[in-house]
Parts: sequence; C-alpha cells; structure tokens
Amino acid sequence: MLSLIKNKFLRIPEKLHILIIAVIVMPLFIGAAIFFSGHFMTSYKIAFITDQAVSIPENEAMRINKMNEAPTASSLAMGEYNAFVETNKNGEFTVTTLNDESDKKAIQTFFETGKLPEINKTEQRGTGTNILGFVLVVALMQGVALTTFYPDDRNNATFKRILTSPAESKQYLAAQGIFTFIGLYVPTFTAIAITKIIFGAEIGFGLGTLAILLVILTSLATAFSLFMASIMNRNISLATSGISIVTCIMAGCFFSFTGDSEVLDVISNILPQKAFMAMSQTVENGASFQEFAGALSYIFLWIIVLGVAGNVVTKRKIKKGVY
Amino acid sequence: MRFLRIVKFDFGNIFKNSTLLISNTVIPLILIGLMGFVTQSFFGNGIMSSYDYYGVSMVILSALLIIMTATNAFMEGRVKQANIRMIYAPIPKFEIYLSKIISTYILGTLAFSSILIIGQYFFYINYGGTNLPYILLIVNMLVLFGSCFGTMMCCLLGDEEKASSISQLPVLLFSAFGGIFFSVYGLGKMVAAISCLSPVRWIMECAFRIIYDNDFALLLPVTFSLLGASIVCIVICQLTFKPEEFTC
Amino acid sequence: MDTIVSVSNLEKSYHSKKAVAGISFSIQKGEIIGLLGPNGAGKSTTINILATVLSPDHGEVQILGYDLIREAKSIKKEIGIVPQDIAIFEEITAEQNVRFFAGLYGFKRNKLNELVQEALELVGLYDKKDDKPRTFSGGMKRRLNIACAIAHQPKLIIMDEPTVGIDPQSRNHILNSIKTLRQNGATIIYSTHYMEEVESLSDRIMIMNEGRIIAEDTKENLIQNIGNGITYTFKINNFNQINKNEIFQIHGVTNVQLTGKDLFITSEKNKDTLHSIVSLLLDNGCSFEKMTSKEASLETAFLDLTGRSLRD
Repeated sequence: MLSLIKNKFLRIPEKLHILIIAVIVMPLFIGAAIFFSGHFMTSYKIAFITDQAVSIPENEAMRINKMNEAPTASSLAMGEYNAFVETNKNGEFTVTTLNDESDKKAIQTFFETGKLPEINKTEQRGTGTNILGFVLVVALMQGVALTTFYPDDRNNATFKRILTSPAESKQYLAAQGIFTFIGLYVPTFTAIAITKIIFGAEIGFGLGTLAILLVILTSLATAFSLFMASIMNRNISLATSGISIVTCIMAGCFFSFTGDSEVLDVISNILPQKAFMAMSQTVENGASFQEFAGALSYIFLWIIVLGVAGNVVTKRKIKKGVY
Repeated sequence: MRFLRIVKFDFGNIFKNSTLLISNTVIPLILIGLMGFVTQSFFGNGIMSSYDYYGVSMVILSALLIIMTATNAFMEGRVKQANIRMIYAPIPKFEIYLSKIISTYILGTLAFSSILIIGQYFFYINYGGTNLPYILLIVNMLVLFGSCFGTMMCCLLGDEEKASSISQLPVLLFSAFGGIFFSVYGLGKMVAAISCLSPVRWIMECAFRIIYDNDFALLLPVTFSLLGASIVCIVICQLTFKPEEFTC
Repeated sequence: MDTIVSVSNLEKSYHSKKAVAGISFSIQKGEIIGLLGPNGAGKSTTINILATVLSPDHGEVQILGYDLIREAKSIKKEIGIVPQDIAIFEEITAEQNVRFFAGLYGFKRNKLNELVQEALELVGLYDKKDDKPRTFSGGMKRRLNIACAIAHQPKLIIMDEPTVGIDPQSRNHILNSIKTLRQNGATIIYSTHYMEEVESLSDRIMIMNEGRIIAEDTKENLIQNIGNGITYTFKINNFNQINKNEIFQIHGVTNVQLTGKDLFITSEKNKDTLHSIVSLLLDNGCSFEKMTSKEASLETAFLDLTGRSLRD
C-alpha cells in the first residue's frame, strides 16, 4: 500500500502542469474568490434620468448618477446599473430594473420617501457556506485531474501488471484515493487558512471547523473522481467537469434558491452537495451536532457508495479482461 | 479533395465521441435551463429574464469551451496516433492541424447555431429576434477562435492533457472577469476596469447591445478581433507544429 | 520432479467465442515451456488466466500447489509476469520502477536493494539505473520490463512475447537472462512468435490453435512425429483446377495445405513423391511459378499442424 502511494508521489514531476493547477492555481482562485466575495457591493447603482433640478436623497446603499438621457438597456443587462429611475412632470417616479419586485419597490420607496425600507429577503446564506460551495465545485472538478494516474496506468498496462502482484485492485484504488485526497485537501485548506490569517478575510468558520468540513468535502470529491475514473475510459475530465457543474448548480453551490419545480427539488435533494451545503449552513449558524447528523450521515453514505461502486466496476472490468 | 477527406475523417472522429457531442449540445442547454431556473428569483418581470441572461452567457461560455473539443480531436489518446500518422503521407503539415480546426469549427457551428435557434424559437429566450443572425455570427466567430486556440495549444504543448488543463485557466479567468457568472460591476470600479481586458466581456456586451439596444457598434470590432486572433493562432500552429516530434 | 503448473479442462469464452476450449497440461519444476500459436490461438488468454488476472469459466488450475481461484494471492506472490505490453512507468527511473514492483511483494530495505540490483544486473541495465525509460531504446525498455517481473525472484515466470520488435543485441541479452533464470531454479512459460527462440530455449513446446493444444512435446519429437519429411511449397496460379484429395492419394504424401497462392505438400522423407506431385499438377493444367522444398523443422511442423505460418 505504501509502495503504491509512494509511486504516485514519485511520478509527480512528470505531471507538474496538472499539479501546478491543482496545488497552486486553484488555491489562488479560491483565495481570490474569498477576497472578492468580501468586497461584493450590496449597494444599488441607479441612473436617475431627469432634466429638472430635483434634490436626491442620500444613502450609502444607493449610488445615484444623475443624467439627462437614459443609458442603454444593455447597461442594465451588463450590471453597470441596477435600475433606471425616471421622473415625470407630476413628480412621479418610474423604476426600470432587471431585479426582482422587492428591489424595485425598495428603490421606488427610496425615491418617493427618501428612506430605504427594510428588505425582507429570504434568509441569506453565510459567507463560510458560500465559500465552501465554491470550493466544492472546484474540488469536484479538480479531483479527477489528481486521479489521472489511475487511467494512465490502465492505458499503459501498468495497472494490469500491478494486479499480477499481491496488490489488489481495492488497495490500488485506496492508494489513489489517499493521493487524490491529500492533493485536494492540503492546498485548499492552506489557501483558505492563509486568506483568513494573513489577509484577514471573513470565512465564517473557525479553522478547526473548516478543517473538519474540508475533510468531508474532499472525501466526497475523492470518491466521485475515483468513481468517474473507474466507469469511464476516455474524456473523464470533460465528463466530470460537466456533471460537477450541473449538479452543483442544482444543489445550490453557486446560488441559494427556492424553486417551484418539484422534479428539480427531488433531484437536487438526492445530491450529496445539497446535503453538504445544508450541513455547512447549519454548522455556520452554530447548531448542535444533532441538527446536522442526518446530513452528515447522508454525505458519508454517498462517499461509501461512490467508493464501493468504483471498486465494483473496476473488479468487473478486470473479470472481463478489461484493465 | 484530399483535404476534404481528412476533414471528413476528423469530423467523423469527433462525431463518434459521445462525450464531445453531449458537451457541445445537451450541456449548454442544461446550463441555460439550470442557471436560469436557480436565479429567476433575482430577476423581475422586466425586459430580461434570468433565462435571457444565462441564455447568452452560457452559450458564450460553452462556445469558448470548444477549446476542449479541439484539443480532444487533435490529441486524445485514441486518435493521436492515427492523426500523427498522417505525417507519413505526402501532405503538407498545415493540412493536419487545419483539418482539426475546421472539423471542430463545423461541429461547433452546427451545435451552437442549433442551440441559438432552438433557444429563440422553442424556449423563447431573447437572442435578439430578427437580430439573431448577428448573434449567430458572433458565436460562430467565438467557436472559430476556440477551435484555433485549442489546436494551437496542442501544437505548443504536444499533449492533450496539458493543452486542455492549461487552456481552462484563461477560459476561467476571461469568463469570471467577463461577467459570465455574475456582473463584474458589483465588485467595484477596479474589477470593472480589469474586465475590459477580458474578450468575453466585449462579446457579452456586444451581444447584449445587439439584443437590447439594436446597437451594432461593437459587432465589427468583436468579429474582426476574433477573426484576427484566430489567424494569429493558425500562424502559431504553423510555426510550432512539428509532426516529427510526435512520432516516438 | 515437482509439478509447478497443473491445468485441467481449462475453458474461457468471450461472448460466444471460445478463446480457450478445454485445455489440459502440466509443467515441471525447472522447465522452459515454449508456447506457440498463431494470433487468436488462445495463448494470451491462457497466460492471463495463469497470471490470475482473468477468471476461467471452467476447469482447474493449480500453480505451485495453490488453487487458482481460492488461493490467487498465494500464487501471485510466487509468480512473475512479463507482459506483452511494455508496462513500466516512463516518468520514474529504471531503478525506481524495479523497486516499486518488487516492493509490492513486501520486500523492504536491504533485501529490496539487493533484489533490485540483481534484477537490473541480470538484464544488463544496472549502469542505466538512474535513467528514465523514456531515454531507453525499445530493447532496453523490454529488458526493464523483464527486470520488473523477476526482481522478487518468482518460482514461475510467465513471459508473453518479451522480445517483440527489439534489436538483436537486446534479444540475445534477454535469451541469456532467461537461461540464467532457469539455472537459478525458475520455471518459465515462454510465449513467442519467434520460432528460433523457442528452438533454442525450450525443453518442451506447446502448440495452440483455436483455443486447443494441438501438440505438446520436445522439439525433436514434434518434428519426428509430425513433420518428419519434406515440405514442398508451390506458388500456384490456378489451384481450382485440381482436387486436394487427388494429391493426398499420392503414396507418401502426408499433408496438403493451401494458403493464398501457396500450396504446401508434406511428404515422407524417403519416398520419391516429387515427380508424382509435379506430374499431377501439370496434368491437371496447373501452372506454378516457383517450387521450393524444405526439410522438416519446427516451422514445417507448426505449419503442418495449424495450416498457418506462425505470424499469420
């Protein structure tokens, strides 16, 4: 087993490009994402179109540019402005925005009364959970890059050769899993920890809690990549990226959403990422272990099922003479 | 005639690869549907729905990701040897890489044109109505650029795995700073200024201007820039592609 | 003599095609067995089963007294496989390759160092131990392929075409290494397409065709029993004008085979059959461009048995 793990590490220099991406570039992206998420502006940028001398109320949540002509509609689409506010002779305001109705009303009220009403948005997700959502997507996509030795060994017949030794396929997969886990865990944890400690970014969790949550997250990504590498023979990276992105969107890793599609709800509730996001939020809210024990067990079940399925598929292939 | 035969052969190889087909046809549609669905609560009943926004941005992202198809068509394990074998035939080397570019481009053009047409007429995504042909043009230019860029990366690095994993970085950077996932203006003036360096941002803006403002000011600059960048990639292919290096 | 391998009624099918159709054989300690057969004869399937990486459908296999199904792990510890593919890691040095594979058998530290050195010396790569295989010639890679299989000093070594496509110098080195391995007590199953290798190495030869063992004996006995005669080869232009059975009726003719335009006729050595054969062909309007004759050899015996030349 130790020989199998050591063998992967010895081969690292030849796969430097992938490792640089996984170990340096991706953590940089994660760090940058955390940094920028802390700088995301929550204020509205408004184009106020009027040719009259109207006094504009002031509020730090509203950045208002006064102009004579309305900017183009595409500037709303690109997000340059969140809304256009026009006024007529009677002093009535018309708000044009792509944002939802509550935002539209808030802007309207602000212009009419000078006060910004409390917006009862649905419960906001914590910073830590948002960060872990992004990390989960990156880990699921990168896991397969770190598992590349396994399909390589199959293509080069070294996997078959290893099977003629006393080492078994499950030992090989376990060794590959440990390698992938380390390759995902160490740089990710380091990146987040550095962003927190050195740059003082808010990450929503203590380092200890983060370390444990990342173990779960990375285990899931490792099991998934082993599974994908076992069932597929070619285009593993492409297929894994596609599945990861689609399922992560469905599970709400990018955006927290409440939809009205039952089918999508059912599917997304099956996904382990959804359970992870829910658990992460529960932990971030400071809940007790009992409150997320269900989600945790469910994620572990997925890790075990993916791991075992990868092993069974590999064994079946071996039995058929496909190595 | 001979070149057409090579293109046909290369196109057949891509067409037979179900992962490549799915990632250029079904996946973009799923991405539009999903992103549109999960973000619809952020959008009001105004001129643009979440599906309209992600209909444009996800098609641009997917079209740019044709880079992966190009690297795959050129140097994926199973086709690499057969592809490289062509160096033994009495054909100039440009025919080898150019046929990969063209076959990838044909697939991308067919796939993304279909997605835009289906999106507009069956899913009522706003791709500009009568201005749709211009959006088709931009997306096709992007597909051409992606095909050339992916092939160029293969010529430079000589390995599919290296080419596709390294190509993902600029794609990710350009997309993030181009407003594919969220508006860059929300990140402050500095990031908004940086985003001007991202070609994706200009493509997005060009598309939105055509769709929502009937404004074609960016159409020619964007089209010719993509065409120019594609030509640069082809020139680099010609300079760096050394088929003999792949024979051992 | 100790029986190292005992195979009885071994069968393996892929879909409906029988790759191995009920073969039985045994191998004694210290033997080198040459396994011959045209492509698709079932050699690789047999080797993969003996190597424990493919499960048989039926039959019993015992290797070194262990049952193949129940005690595969014990078998794995005692055998070494030289696969047909060059199954080595190009990214690490020759020494690291051998060390890795030997390490899988549980060897550590000094013993491991010793075994790695011995294996590399045996194949003549010790002075290249710190080089990566990508800088090696095809022959050197093949030698490293062997070193990785023998470092743990297996009692049974199975070699699946270990000399494909290599230079004569490397081939000689490999053949000498195999002889040394046998001197050190190993039993060897050697599958190849090269007749001369089998002739120079093997104590016994097994010829497989269409999933069956069609002959199994010493080289001398095989030639004596099957091919003890002369094989005439005619390059025929219009064979359809003659009935194969008519040739068989000539006294002394033991075999008639047709491959493409080549007509092979084997005749008993001391019978004067050539005149009758040529007359029959000419009388039937057959024209031929060329005729050659060859005294009995392993190659003619193989041809006689399978109707195909070895590399078909």
